[in-house]
Amino acid sequence: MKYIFLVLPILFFGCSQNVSSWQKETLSKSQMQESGGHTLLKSVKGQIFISKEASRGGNGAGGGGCGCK
Amino acid sequence: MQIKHSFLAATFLLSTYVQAQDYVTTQFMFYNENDETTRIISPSMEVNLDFGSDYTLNAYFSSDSTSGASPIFYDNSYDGSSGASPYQQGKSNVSAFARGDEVSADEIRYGLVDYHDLRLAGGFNLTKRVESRDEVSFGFSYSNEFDFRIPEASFSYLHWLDESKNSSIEGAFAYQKAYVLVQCSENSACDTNSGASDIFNQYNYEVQITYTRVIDKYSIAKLSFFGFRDGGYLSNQYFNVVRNRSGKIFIENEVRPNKRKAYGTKVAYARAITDSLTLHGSYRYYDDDWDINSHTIEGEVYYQYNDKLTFEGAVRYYTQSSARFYSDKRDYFTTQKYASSDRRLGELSDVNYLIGFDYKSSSELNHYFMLNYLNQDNDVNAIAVIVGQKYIF
Repeated sequence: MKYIFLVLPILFFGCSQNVSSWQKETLSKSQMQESGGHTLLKSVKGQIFISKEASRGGNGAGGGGCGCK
Repeated sequence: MQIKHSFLAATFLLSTYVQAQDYVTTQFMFYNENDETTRIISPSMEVNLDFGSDYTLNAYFSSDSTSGASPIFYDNSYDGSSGASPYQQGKSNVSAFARGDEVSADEIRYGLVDYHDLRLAGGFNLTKRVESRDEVSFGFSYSNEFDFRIPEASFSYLHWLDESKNSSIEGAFAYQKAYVLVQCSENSACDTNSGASDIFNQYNYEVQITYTRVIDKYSIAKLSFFGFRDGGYLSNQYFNVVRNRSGKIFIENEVRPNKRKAYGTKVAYARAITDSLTLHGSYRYYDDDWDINSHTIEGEVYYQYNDKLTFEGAVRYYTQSSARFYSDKRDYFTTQKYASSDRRLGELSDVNYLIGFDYKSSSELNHYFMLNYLNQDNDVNAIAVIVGQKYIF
């Protein structure tokens, strides 16, 4: 069961298009980032969950985002 | 302490997300659980500075003033007024260290023991963009409490896979060495039961690989694989278990394995449905060798009402299985090597709700207000109020 969701992203990423830098206005909005781009907010949300639950991880390396920088 | 878990991992790879922007953010959080179990007041500050187009420095500082009570098994007949323990501010005059001797089964209680703590934490992350615009980052953080301090070093490398920067892969690694001050009163981890303190270490490694892909002009997706290995003193010195040794009842410190290996994966997707409406969805799977596996599903919605005001809402569902050495039954443990009654290691699920808004009072100044509510099926309810202000210069 857990391996099914590893296959889905491969299909998902396969549908991607080439987007030029001048077409990334929407992607550059703060709403496109987790927690609206507020890193301190993301941090305290993570602290709340880690203090109440037994698992962690997956919220570290943020990746390159939309390449809008 | 009840909250101690959070300090172990909250700084892991914290600063790997880099924004090319100069800003200062200040934030204040008030957190409160039901039954007065935990209250936290936490101010924090973050500074992000660009030095030309090649360097970005991000630094943060936070403080957590925590008070409340941890639910543990204790001996109701114990007289905590002797001054033998520094943790005797318990409402019922009990101590987390009232253990080791045989106790009467009638005197065992499961209740709250008060605690207070102050954590100070800070860190920085320096990112260098090389000629190909790949990013190399180094980070360091430090968190300190009176009985727990944990420095961390991290490194990450982000590589763009195409010229249009539509896809990237990032690898990150972090290492922590924690120093845990353990009171040795009847703690089996110590060589002596004198009550003196001793310092134990934890050695924690965490890795993560993230692939990010722009799907089209309105959506982006991310796939991560992560893993960690914790080693050393992983027990919580403040938690007790009840053992039945051939009919004799003892309250003893919990004992967890001194190793933990975990891996997991997360997929996330964000899409702008219209100019004003954006949706996020993510799923995370986690599995470790303590027999805990968990599933996390989260959705976020952003609605931009006008140029200044944006509303945000989020729902998160979490469920986990129990650790193999966990039991909340006081007559369960006998001579097992590993035993814990920390309810966070038990089977549980929770739902978290967040609502709030972000208001731009000018092109330089943002204000945000968030209300967060956590409802766990083991009778834990928590509410957090978060207020922040971001100044862009």
